[in-house]
Amino acid sequence: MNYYLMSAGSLPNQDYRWWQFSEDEKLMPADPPLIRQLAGPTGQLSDWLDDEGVSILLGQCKKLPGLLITSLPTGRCDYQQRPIRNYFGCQATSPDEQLAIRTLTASALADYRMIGDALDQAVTTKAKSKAVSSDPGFKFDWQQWENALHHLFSMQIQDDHPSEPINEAKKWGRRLRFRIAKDSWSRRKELIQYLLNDDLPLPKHLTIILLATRYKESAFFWANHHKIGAVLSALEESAEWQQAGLIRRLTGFIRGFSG
Amino acid sequence: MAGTTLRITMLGPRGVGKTSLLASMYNEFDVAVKNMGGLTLVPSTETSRILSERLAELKRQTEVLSSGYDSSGTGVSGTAVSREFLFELGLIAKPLEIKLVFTDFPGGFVTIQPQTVLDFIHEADVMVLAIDAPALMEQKGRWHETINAPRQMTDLIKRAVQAGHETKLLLLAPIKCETYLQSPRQSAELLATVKDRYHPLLSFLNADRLPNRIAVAITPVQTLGTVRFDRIEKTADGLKFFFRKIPGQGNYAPMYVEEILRYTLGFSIKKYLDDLSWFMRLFKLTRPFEHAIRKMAAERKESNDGFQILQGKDLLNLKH
Repeated sequence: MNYYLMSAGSLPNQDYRWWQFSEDEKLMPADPPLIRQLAGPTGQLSDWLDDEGVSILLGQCKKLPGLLITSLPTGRCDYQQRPIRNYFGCQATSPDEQLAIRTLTASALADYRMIGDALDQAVTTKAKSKAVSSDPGFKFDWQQWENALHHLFSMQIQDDHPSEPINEAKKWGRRLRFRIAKDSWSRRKELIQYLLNDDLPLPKHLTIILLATRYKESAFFWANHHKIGAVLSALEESAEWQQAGLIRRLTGFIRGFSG
Repeated sequence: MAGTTLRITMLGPRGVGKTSLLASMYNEFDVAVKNMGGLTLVPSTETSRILSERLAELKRQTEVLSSGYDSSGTGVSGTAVSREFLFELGLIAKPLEIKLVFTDFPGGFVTIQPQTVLDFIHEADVMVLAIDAPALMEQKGRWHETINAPRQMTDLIKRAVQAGHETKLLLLAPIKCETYLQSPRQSAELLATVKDRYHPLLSFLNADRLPNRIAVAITPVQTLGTVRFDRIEKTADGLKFFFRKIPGQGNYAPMYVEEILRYTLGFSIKKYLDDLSWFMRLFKLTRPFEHAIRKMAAERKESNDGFQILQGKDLLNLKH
């Protein structure tokens, strides 16, 4: 598995950028492969999700899954006393790692703070980092990260929102396909259940298998529905899962007619 | 749906306040267009939600400062990913006529993705170069190079302007100017310092025929309004800038941020009208909308409070 972190240091020249981190604790400037795969109209991650808040994206690159989580809070501040955030990425390098990515995604959907805290504790500012180029302004503690990961994988995902049960009628079948809905705990639980059942496949043809984001209007997702699976957006008004197909064709027809 | 698109790119190194400026501008638009024939700025839902959060952060920052607590972690979060903020402009209860696209990107892109930044500049009608005023003015500008990276910004703008043929407006916008605009003498000092510290850029832009297509103005803003610069401290993590609240004043009262919109719209409408034949003009913008924009642009500050048009006045003047 390859791991990536986008963060910033406290100094003006230590701005946000993606780094690949590894066991030797060296930080190498490198974008997660999913970022290149996602290149949208402006070529930026913000085409697909709202990175100002925590968004969780399970995607696919060369038929191997990858995960991106944006805007995880940290305890660090920059020179203007602005909070620094961590962005996390990981990419499977073999099919065997699918299970780990599914578990990490399910864990992030249940409570992003577990991965967020693990990452924040592994990022320290105490000593100069072993970055291969410029100094990012932080150091990565691999041992700390590995311990946190072990802990995370050994934990049972808790249902902290029992008052929002899964709607059995709306549950996923054997295949994730394009559906979009307002982000809610019951919707998240449906996805967690799907991810934790490793008999259920991750569709090979999708760029984005699932996405939970905040302020992203649905028009972009409708336009790219052939590349996308499940989308949860805080801006979606419907409480029910909307599916591609008749609704999409009707929406397109109405938009074309009125515009 | 608005037909014409105006592109504005926010430039400046990390942490100078590009996004805060954008959030303040959005907040102050209604003040700027009061009695302007019913102009209205309508953000996209995403833009509205994100800028509203940024505004809330700005207001919270002022409140924390007024309470006397350490304001660490209360500033507007830095930008990690580039994004477009979309607005449409028109008259209330009428079809919206112009689309405004503000591009905001992490300051570090200038180093990491210079071509992306050059592309943003090429596409833009207006460039707003945000300058951290305390770094420029305090301790005889000791931190100006570190924080505002003027050489890097100059080289970038030079490259972009050299390669293009388009008419553009460059606004040099010193941010967090609360401490430096309290008297005419201070305003004059701020203006002189900007001109002095950006002399290589300004003299390049003033050479040959560039003034015919590049308008340049200095437009200082007070992002929070009710704070003053306090001190700079060197800490184990690096550098920290501190501000303090002025007792007895409201919590959040930005000043002059709307001037950037006055300049931007005035320039853009002029450019738009110059590019069109009179026949096309009849069918593109409605007369009441054009009139409202002219009125708004005509009220801009040009020669006081640290404002000055340095070149390309013809590109900014809308004839009545």
